[in-house]
Amino acid sequence: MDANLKNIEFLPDDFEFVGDKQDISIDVVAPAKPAWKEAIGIFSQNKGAVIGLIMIIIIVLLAIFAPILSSWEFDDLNTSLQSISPNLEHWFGTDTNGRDLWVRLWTGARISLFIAVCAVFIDVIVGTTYGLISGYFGGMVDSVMQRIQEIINSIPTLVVLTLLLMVMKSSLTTIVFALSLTEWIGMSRIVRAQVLKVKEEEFVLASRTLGAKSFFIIFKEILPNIYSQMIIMIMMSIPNAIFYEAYLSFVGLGLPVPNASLGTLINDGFESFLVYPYMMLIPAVVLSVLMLSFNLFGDGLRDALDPTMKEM
Amino acid sequence: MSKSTLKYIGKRLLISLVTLFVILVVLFLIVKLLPGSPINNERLSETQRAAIEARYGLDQPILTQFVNYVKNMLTGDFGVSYNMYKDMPVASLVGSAAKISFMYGLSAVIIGGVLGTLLGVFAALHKNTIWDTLATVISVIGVSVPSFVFAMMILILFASKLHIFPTQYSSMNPIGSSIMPVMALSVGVIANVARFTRTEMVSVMNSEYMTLAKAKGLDSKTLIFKHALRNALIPVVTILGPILVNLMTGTMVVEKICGVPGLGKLLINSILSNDVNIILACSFLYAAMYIVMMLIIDVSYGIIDPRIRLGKEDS
Repeated sequence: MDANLKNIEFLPDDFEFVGDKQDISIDVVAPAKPAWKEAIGIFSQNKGAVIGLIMIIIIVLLAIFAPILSSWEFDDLNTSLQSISPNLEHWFGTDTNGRDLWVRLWTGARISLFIAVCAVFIDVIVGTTYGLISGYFGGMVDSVMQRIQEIINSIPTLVVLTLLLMVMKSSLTTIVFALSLTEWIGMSRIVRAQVLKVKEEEFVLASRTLGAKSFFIIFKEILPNIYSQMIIMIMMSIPNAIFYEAYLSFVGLGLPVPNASLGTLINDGFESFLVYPYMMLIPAVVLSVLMLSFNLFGDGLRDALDPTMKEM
Repeated sequence: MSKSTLKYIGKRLLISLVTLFVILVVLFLIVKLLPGSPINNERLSETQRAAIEARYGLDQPILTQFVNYVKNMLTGDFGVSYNMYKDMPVASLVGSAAKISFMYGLSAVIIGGVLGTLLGVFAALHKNTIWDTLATVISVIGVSVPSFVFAMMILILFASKLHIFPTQYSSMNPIGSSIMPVMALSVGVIANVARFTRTEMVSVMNSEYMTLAKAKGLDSKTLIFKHALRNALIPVVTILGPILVNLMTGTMVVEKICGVPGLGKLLINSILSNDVNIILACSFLYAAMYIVMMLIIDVSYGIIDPRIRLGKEDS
């Protein structure tokens, strides 16, 4: 055999290249990666989500540092500098009271973000507790809690917010309170749905067989398994809170003067927006970009962490 | 309709009625808890104020007031305006405002629904091309950007720069002045519907019965509109709820920007001038509208797709 082979002389054109044959390939076994690395991988493939994240970071940085670095204050009244269009000294112009809009805008963005984050933080605590109890204990407790929630949920957010702020004096705390009062329901629903799913899993049964108490099972077994859904929900709630804050300010129930939020700036600009469109347009654009970025980021996060949530 | 469907509808109807009653009680309490007298006229002396309050029955205990209010409400009498429009019956004020808002909302839903469906189908048929990306970008922007920003931009463009439409609502030209607010309101609807239709269309186009329909040799028009779209549109019922919520907040702000004398503007003005009966009637109408729409959506979805029984399917 070997002797025969040696006698054959190979010529360069004996073999012909047939091109890439896609269907003949070796199965690549993906190396096992931790779930979070996988998620980051999927997330960074999503261009929109990455752009969203970058925009959020830029806006947050500006909101923190722009007012500190500027020589103007957000509540400096200067009657000699009224309604100046954007120029080199006042990058976004001044408002009808002569206040620098660049500083006011970023102070406003800071407050809007602060309100949204606080409101969502309270939502998470209240909603998670409610959802965990309702989902975990089930039965009568669940029925009663679900009926209560159903009734609260069927009052439109807009009516609750409007009436609440009519009764309470409008301030940072009351707006946060009003927003969290209406928004926790979404969180509690997601948590409850996830708890119902997770509590049937075998590791929960194993834990119970080992003698674990409800408290331990809820916090050590169930909660760590629903974090990703909660993070997604948080990211989806933030733009909502920002929007409702702007809405409240716009109908005249926002923060009292001289405080600025994106909503109050839009509302102030609205008074004179046909004459000085920049006063309303700039905060409106920042608000829209912020909401857009959070939505893109949230969508990307959802696809990366839990694609099945798309249906919800 | 099976027995269980009827039972389901009955249960939902009962919950809705209870909710409406709870809302009415809460609204009534909130309005009564408002600081200050509902009659805000600075020049009145104490005795005059007391006389006026007695005339409106405001001196009676709160329970009697509530019972009277509910009794009157059932006969269609929502009391009279105290401050804004002196002694005008609230029912007719709210009625005429609601008619405008309702027309705007309905037009926005129809226009937005048709355009959104077309956009969604277009994107799904050109899946993963530049057109699809473009349609997705449009719908993401439409979902994220609040409707008042659109209203403002449309106003600057069409009224302030091009002078096509009047800047503010005028009763002389109700159709011309309705175009801009309806445009602003329908953007959100278009975006929501397009996004949803696209996802549904893509999944329907990949299903086996579509392959069968293609294999039968149907032409693409019948294929898309008769087979795919009809099935893809059924789940669109689920996003009617969020669309409705968007429209309700949308009308409030858009009406303010365009100066439309609708329900939203009436509610805002009544809050600012502390006109309790109008506040009560407007908020109640908003809540009732929402509840009734939600009821219709839930029930129709239960009938279309019997696998869905809200509140039951997850336990």
